[in-house]
Amino acid sequence: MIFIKNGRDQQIGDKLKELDRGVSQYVRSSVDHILSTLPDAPDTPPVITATVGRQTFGNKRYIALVVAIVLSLGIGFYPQMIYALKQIPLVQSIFERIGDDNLKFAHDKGWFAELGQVVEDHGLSLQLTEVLYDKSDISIAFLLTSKDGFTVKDRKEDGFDDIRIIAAVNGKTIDTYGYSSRGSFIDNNHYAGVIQIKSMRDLPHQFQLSMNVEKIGSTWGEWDFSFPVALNEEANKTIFVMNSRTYGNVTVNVEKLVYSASSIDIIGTGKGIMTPDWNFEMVDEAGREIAPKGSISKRNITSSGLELEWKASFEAADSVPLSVTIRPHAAGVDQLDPEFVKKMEMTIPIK
Amino acid sequence: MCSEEDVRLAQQGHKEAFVRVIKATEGTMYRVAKSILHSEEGVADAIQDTILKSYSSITSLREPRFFKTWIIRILINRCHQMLTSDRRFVPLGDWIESVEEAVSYESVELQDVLNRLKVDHRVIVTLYYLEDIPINDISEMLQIPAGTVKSRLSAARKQLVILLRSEGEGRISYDFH
Repeated sequence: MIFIKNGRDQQIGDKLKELDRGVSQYVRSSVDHILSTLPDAPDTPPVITATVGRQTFGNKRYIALVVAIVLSLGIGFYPQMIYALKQIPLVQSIFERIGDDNLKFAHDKGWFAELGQVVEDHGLSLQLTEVLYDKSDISIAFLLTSKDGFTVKDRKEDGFDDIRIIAAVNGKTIDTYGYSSRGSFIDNNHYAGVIQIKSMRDLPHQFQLSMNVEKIGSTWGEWDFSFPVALNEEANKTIFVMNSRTYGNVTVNVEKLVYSASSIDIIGTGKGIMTPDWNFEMVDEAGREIAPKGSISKRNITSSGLELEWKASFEAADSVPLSVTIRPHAAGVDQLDPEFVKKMEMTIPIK
Repeated sequence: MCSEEDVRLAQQGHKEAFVRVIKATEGTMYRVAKSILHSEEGVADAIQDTILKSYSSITSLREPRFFKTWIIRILINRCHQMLTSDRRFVPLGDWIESVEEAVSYESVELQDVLNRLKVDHRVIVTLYYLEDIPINDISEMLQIPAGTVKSRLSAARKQLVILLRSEGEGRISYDFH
């Protein structure tokens, strides 16, 4: 086949070039940032300035070594810091501040495990105070301190624009996960919140979690943490559903429901998922809507076509419902076939 | 346009030269990554990873004149890795705002055209039509035979002709070669 760029190709090219709006400011900023952190010699790792205690170290590997030494020698240091943190009345009520009664309940029950790690970078000190793994989420409470005060840009409404993290379990990046963060400004130098990490698949009952925070609000940096996490058996209940619904070429299998301190998750698989995109909505036995938190999914191409693994997450209710009913729901103007919605509906007893 | 001289300097350890070659290829990297990943966050991640990887391995590039082909290949591999890895958890309530910039209706329509092509076709269309890269270079970037590039481009072109039909501008007709 001879392929020559002819007049018609020129037309196509010209039409497509009209698309070009140039590099977005967001990507340009991220490129400029990474270029600014490059070391002078290509074969050494990027130099990230971070502070542990009062000293500043310029190399990421060296930082890891020093932190390890501090942890091994200064066992008394972190409990004292935790005690000091607790004296700040505002930190005691992180869960009250963010309005999460269920996490506050879990905290008051003693389900959270204490942490005491702090990393400072670019003038922001990130302290992880406690962690709970309840099978749905890894919830990590934190206190953020800015020496110079938060910028106007970061004080948008009541939270940061963006906290970006990379999470790994036992040294390996979690296969298919998501995260969210929310919090509240205490004053212009302090912000308290919770990061929640959700894995598509079950995690081990105990593991070492590595959490690398790359960006906080408008500030890129490196705030790296590593700590042990153990499943709190009291904080969750799993109900094996193993039920399916089929309508036309769409089949949805609901495998289980996990009811935990942080959320209600329904987990399953699907085939032939059609457009418009839809998700599940959930109501309790009285028909009251249970607020959705979001969803996570992974597509697999198999010999029989496209299959989807999914996990839909909802806010944990104030009291355990007798049952929940899930049904397809599409946001926006796209409407689903009422017959489809009716056929796919499923009620799951909880109590 | 990135100069071969800057690439050679970068290979000798001159950071400023490396920055220049990256800035010269920034637009191409953006368009290629965008044709695969869509989201601004994913595109930014992929380009950052590509910059780091290329900075640490630039001395392995034998011919400075092939820098663009080389770095785009790294970028495409990274994009494909990201496509098959995890997805973000997207809450429906309070969440990070989209970083997508407002676009004109016409641009959305044309982007929608590209998005209706298969990923493999989209990348080739971006490289061939938007970046004016020859087929042999595309073959090198994607590590596929030139014949495969041509057949995918041919298929994409047929679809593009249909999708790009416009009343005001007349038809774009297509003849088989």
